[in-house]
Amino acid sequence: MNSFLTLFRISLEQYFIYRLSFVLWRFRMVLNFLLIFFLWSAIYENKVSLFGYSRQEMFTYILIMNLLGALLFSSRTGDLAGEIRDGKVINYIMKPFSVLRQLLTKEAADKLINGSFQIVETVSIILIFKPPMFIQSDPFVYVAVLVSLCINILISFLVLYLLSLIAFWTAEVWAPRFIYFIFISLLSGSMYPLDILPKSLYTILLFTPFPYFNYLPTRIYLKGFSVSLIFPFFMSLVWVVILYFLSRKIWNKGMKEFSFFGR
Amino acid sequence: MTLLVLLSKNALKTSFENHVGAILFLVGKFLRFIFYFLFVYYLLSNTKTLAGYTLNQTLLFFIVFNIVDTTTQLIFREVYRFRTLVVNGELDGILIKPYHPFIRILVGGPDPLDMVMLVLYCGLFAYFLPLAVSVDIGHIFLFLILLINTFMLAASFHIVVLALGILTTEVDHAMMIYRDVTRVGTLPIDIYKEPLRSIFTFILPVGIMMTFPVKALLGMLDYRLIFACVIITSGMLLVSLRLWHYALKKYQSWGG
Repeated sequence: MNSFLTLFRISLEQYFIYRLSFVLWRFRMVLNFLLIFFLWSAIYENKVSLFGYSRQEMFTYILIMNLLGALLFSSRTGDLAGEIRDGKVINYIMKPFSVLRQLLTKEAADKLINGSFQIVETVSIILIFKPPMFIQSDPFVYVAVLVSLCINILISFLVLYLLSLIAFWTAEVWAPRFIYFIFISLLSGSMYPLDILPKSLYTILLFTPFPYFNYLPTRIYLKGFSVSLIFPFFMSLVWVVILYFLSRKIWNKGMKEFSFFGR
Repeated sequence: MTLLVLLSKNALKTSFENHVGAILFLVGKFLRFIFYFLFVYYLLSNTKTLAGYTLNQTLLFFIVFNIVDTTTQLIFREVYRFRTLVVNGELDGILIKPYHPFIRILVGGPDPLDMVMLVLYCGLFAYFLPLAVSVDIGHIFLFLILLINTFMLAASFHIVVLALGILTTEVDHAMMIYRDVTRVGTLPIDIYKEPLRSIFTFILPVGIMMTFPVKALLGMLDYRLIFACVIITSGMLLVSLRLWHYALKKYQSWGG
């Protein structure tokens, strides 16, 4: 446990070495959010309700999405691809802990620091622009949101981890990541609630991992946990299991292919 | 001109060295555009207007944003590779050549992938233009003038990044911030509330770059604002060139 705490601390300290890069990254995240915030402000101009969401619910939705964006868009798994290509992945293998647990520890540090900044930024946006907010009063809903959030973090981590493992077979690791981020920026509900889409399209999306990143926890917070959410909840768990076994299988396969000289 | 053609051919060959990566990035860019386009289309089909603009007018803003964004990437792609030239000392070799360094470091590496997307955007522009507005030759002329103004502004931003690259070796983040700042102009700048709207129009002149040309096309731009655009762009260009000359005086080779 101590070793993981040390790894966690080192990962946090690394952020303070590259302070300017980190501050600029946060600035970019705020700019990106302002576009979505004002787009919805303009759309709800003189409207009380649209697409089944009141003005208050929609602003709460996009603000929570912004908050959860730290969990979705920030990740250290991208480093792994580079480390596989240049052989530094050996450093993980030689340690007496599982690679997945080491990466998860680094990821937790990443989410903690980005999440903290995201909270400060989101609160600042609320204080400056004073959007109408919805506060959930049912304590059970908060528990369901928390569980869904943990599933969200696991799915997002495992998908990105899998994308990094491509590096065992090809140097072309950034293009698939680029495409992945395009998919999640538009299909994970980070710009709009997915249930405003036509019903058939929404149903198809429920079979993919995208709704389980940020949409599901936010939907639960806003509309409460209902029978209609049991299927999406079940599907999110199925995706965690599929991705976990797939990542183990691909890692083992990659290790058999891996060879490196000179370290 | 011959030199520019030669450098462009070189960039074309470099881009297609890795076919799979090039194709995947192209697919990614295509998907991003289509997803976003459909999202705006779907939203506006339900709400009918956005900040007073109709569906077709809003799409015109979105398409022109993509034309500007892609063209600037196409022309100024070499700026993204500038840091390497500074840190490994190769910039020395460029500065002693008997042509202006901007030919190599500013416009010397156009990206052919962007050309493919540009054809798509121009096709959509031609389709949506008559749907959004009754075409007027005077407005088209103003649009073209303001589009040239936009590229001049973009050039000055890129020159500032080059100067910063020499002074601080920081290029990547500066470029990413430029891209994110311009992205606030994806849709008409009128969606932002004051004072943010004025900041995005005149201080970080995204409004001048992205929204004003389309407003001119729609006949919604006050002539006084056109003069303001020219003055701001001239000022930006002057400042960026001054900064470049200052950076050159401070430049020290890193190895070579």
